[in-house]
Amino acid sequence: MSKVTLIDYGAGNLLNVQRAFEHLGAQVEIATTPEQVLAADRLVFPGVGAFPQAMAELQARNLVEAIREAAPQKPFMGICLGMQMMFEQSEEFVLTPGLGLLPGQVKPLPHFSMTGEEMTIPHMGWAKIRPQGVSWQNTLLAGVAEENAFYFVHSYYAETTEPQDQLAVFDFGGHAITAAVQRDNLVGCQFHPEKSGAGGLRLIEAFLQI
Amino acid sequence: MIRLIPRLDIKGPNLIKGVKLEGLRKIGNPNEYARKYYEQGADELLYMDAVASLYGRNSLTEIVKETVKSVFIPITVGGGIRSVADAREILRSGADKVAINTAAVARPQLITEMANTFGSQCVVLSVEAIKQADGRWLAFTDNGREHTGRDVVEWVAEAVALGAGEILLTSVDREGGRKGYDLELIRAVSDVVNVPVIASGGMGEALHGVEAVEAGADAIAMADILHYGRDTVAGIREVCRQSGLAVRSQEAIA
Repeated sequence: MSKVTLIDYGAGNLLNVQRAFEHLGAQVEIATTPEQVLAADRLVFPGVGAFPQAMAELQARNLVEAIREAAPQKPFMGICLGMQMMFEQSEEFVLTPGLGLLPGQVKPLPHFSMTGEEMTIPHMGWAKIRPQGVSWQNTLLAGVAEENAFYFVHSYYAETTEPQDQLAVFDFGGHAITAAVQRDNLVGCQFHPEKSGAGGLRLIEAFLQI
Repeated sequence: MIRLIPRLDIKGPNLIKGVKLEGLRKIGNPNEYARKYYEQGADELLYMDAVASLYGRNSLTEIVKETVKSVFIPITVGGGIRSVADAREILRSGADKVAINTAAVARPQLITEMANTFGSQCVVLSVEAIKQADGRWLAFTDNGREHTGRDVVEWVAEAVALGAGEILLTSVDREGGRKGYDLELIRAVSDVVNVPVIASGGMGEALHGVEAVEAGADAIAMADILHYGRDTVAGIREVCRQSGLAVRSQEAIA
C-alpha cells in the first residue's frame, strides 16, 4: 500500500484531500512537525485561502525549512494554494516570499478577457486543461485524455519563469493560465484533483505511483 | 463552463421535495441520490436543510460526512448556519461552500466575517425570491414564509459587496412548478453582480436550463426533474451541449 504524508498547517481542504487518497487505498499520515515532513515517503501539500496567511502558518509551525529540504528528495504534490506556494513569491495582498522550489511568481488572474470582457473572479468551476509546449509523456498527466475537465477555485495563478515547468494550461478569457507544473519529482496543480470526480482520482492514483 | 447542480433538500434523514418549498414529500435516502447524481456526472451538489432555521440548527453534518466518502465533487451546504463556528463545522464535515440566508439577513456583517475567515469562494448567499405585484422581487427566508422587507436586486448587490462569492437564486414562485426558471429574475440579478449566479426553481425539462443560462445564470440547480427520474444529469448535459452551451464533456466525466 502506498504511504502518503499530508502537510497539515490548518489548510481547509486537508480532510477532503485525505479522503480522496484513502478512497484510493493509500495509507495517509498527517504531518504537523518538521520531523514528520522529513521522514515522509511522499508529500502532499494542500492549500486553500490566502498566500501570506498560509506562509505565516507554515513559519509558525517551523515547517518552511523542512519542506524545502524534503521536497527535492521525494514525490511532492502541491494543490491549489499549495502549488502556488511552491514558487518564489506572490503578489496576493502584499508581496510575500514562497518556498522557492520552482522559479516564478504568483499573480492575480487577468480581470479582462483578450477581447475586453470583464471576467468573473474568483475563477470557480470546471475547465479543460491542455499541454502547451511540454509533452505529458512520462509526467503526472500522462493518463489524462484530450477531453478532460478539472475543478478550479482561485483568484491568483502561478507564472512560471521556465517554460518547461508549465506542464498544462487552461483557457481563461483567451489567456493561457497555468493549470499544472512539474519538474522532476515536484508536481503541482492549480485545480483540485480531490474535487474533480473520476478524472481527479486518476491523477491522485498516478501520483501514488510516482 | 456552466455547472449542473443537483439540489437535495433535506428534512431529518430524508431527501424531500415540495412545491414552492412547501408540502414536502419524502423521496428517499439522500446519500443514494447524491451518489447516483455524482455517477451521472453532476458538476457539484447542493444540500439544503429545509427545516434547519425553524429549529435553529443544521442536521446535515452526518449526511455530508457520509457523502464525501464516495463523492468527489464540490458540495455546498445550507440551512440553519448562523455563525462562523457553524460554518466551520459544516466545512470540516466535508462541505466546500456554505450557503446562508436567514442569518445573513439578520446580520449582514456575518457575510464579511465568513468571507474573511474562509474566503469569498466559500460563501454562497441563498436568496428566496417572491415576485410582487409591482414587478419587483422581495427576499424571503424559511422556505418563503418569512418576509425580510428587502428588495432582491438591492440585497444581492449589498451581499456581494460584503463578500458573498456566489448567489443561489431560488424563485419560490417557480419552485417545484416545472414551468421553467424565472428568467427576468435571473437577468435582474446577474446584471448587478459579477459573481456566479446559480438559478434554482422551476426546471421541468432540460431546455429550461438552457434558457436560464442564456438569461445570465452560471449554474443551474435542479431537483424535481432528477428526483422523479424525468431526466438524468447526463441527459440534461447533452441538451445543453447541443444548444451550444459550454459544459463538461461526457467523455471527461467517466
